[in-house]
Amino acid sequence: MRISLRRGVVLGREGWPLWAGVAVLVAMPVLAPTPYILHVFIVANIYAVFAASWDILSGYTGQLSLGHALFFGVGAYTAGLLSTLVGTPPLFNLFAGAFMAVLVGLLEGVPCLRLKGPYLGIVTLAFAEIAFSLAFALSSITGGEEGIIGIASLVRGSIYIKYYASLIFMLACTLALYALTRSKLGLILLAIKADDAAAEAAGVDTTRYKLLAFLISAFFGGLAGAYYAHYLNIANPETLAIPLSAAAITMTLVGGMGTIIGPVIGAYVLSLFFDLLPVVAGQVEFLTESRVLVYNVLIVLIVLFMPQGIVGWWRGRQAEPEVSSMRADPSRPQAQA
Amino acid sequence: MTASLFFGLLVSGVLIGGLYALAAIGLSLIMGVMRVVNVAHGALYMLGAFFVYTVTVQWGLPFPIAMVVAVAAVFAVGVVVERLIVRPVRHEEVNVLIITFAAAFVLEELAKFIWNPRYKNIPPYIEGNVSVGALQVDQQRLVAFLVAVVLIGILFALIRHTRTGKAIRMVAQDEEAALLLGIHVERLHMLTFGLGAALAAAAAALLGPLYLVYPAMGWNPLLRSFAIVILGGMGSLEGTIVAGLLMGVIEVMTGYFISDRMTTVATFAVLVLIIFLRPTGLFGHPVEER
Repeated sequence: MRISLRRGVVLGREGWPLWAGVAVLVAMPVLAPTPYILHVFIVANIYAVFAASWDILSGYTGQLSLGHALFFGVGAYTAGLLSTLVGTPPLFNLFAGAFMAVLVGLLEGVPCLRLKGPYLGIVTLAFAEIAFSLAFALSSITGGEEGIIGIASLVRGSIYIKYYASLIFMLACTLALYALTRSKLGLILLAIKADDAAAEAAGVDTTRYKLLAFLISAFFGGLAGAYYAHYLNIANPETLAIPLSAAAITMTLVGGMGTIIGPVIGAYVLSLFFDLLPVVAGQVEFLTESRVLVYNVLIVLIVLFMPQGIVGWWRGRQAEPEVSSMRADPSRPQAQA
Repeated sequence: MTASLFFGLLVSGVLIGGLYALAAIGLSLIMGVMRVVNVAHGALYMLGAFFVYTVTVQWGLPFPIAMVVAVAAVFAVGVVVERLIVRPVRHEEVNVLIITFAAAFVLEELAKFIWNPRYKNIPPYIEGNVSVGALQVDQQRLVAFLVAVVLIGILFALIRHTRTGKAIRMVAQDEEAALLLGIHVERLHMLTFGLGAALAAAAAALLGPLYLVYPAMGWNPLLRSFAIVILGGMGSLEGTIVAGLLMGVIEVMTGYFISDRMTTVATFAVLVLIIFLRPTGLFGHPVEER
């Protein structure tokens, strides 16, 4: 994975396609005024935030989470329980969900992030499975397989209003994450990913910053989950399940790891591919059945052949001569002391 | 609570624990020799169970044949997985985790297409109980345990006393030195990975009649195996065995004293606790930075 240390580059770095993309999204209700298409884009917006939250931790800081659905699910269930049992307003529940996700993140991040090696990946996977099992074991609270139903909507009104609300949500979250990567903190996280030991030697308290990245990631993951619960009005075990964790990874890999914009692009590309194309082509069943398969074949192929993703490919094109010499050869063994 | 009840629980815990150890030892072997974490281990276990299902239920052949077929077939799948997707990214830990995670799903989805997502049963291969002292033990569990012990014994003999085993140990200790000595490291990696997969399949076959068979069945054994490997100390095969037995006892006790539904939660809780308290495991040594 290539690491660029150029500082002070603003959002304009991806050039015109990014602005064109935002313009298309803003104009979407005019371009495609059908409720189904808008619904697909609303869900894509939520997934975009979720995938970006995975990217800040795993793509940007290099700390692999294999159970990211945990945060999404905790956010969704917290919002659902608050909404149905207490009746607190949805906007409050969004942040309550994110806050709970941060607490859970603290619980799993503190022991693991001190350790090197694959512990974090394994433990995140295990935590998500614990939560998944608990969602069934504590069915009197969580509603078991059916989940929590009848959660209040965040935005009432037409699908257009809901669409714009989700667009604002997505843009606000991803801009916040993007700004973060452009800050001094972003540079520190990048340094941790590039060389943990060197960052430590340079005086960075790597454990603290890893934990910080973990909590930021949990926050946005929980936020996305809570938003999801308040949009679809349900919170079910699927929001905690392993395929959702894999989906975040796929979206990010397709778009480009460690770019924040990549996961957003990936979320849209995959939603267009799996939710719109089959409907247009009348092949709904085939693609709903093979979705997980195709997602994961994509992960394998991208890791093997195009680890930089769409954004990385575009950046490479923009700066061909300079970058090609910088690009790390993925087949080359990493330097080991 | 009487002593005989406690003893009974202990015995059934150890019996199931032997199979947990067998399921985990392949993962441990791959970690120790190749220094990669194979997240697809559970999916390979699942494939083993499906092959046994096909041979026993669909073809109507006896169980021992089914087990041999399953072990051989999953060995082959393991070799292919190593060659095609693990080897190219082997030096990047994060990529190995991601790609084997994805491979697990690919295998799981393929199983859905080849068989189908419905729950299946493998018929018991031996029925009846046998008395051990005052204790009634399910004969099948006893046989499964004994077969697991024999298989683990064979693995140890292979690693300790054959030339290939020596070479595998060499690769585990120092890959570059092994290369310099003319050992075909990549071929041994393929062999090790295949062997690890085959051991998972053997455990799945022996445990087959005890659990339902379905495409997503591999995730729990995977996480349990992780828990066992970490509990025993990464890279220590002996530690894996002790931790496997211990895990069996813990699960049986949890199931009896708390609730059947909490056994998985207990497994994962052990995993989290051990990482909290002693990440090097019971028998592990702090790994040097390499």
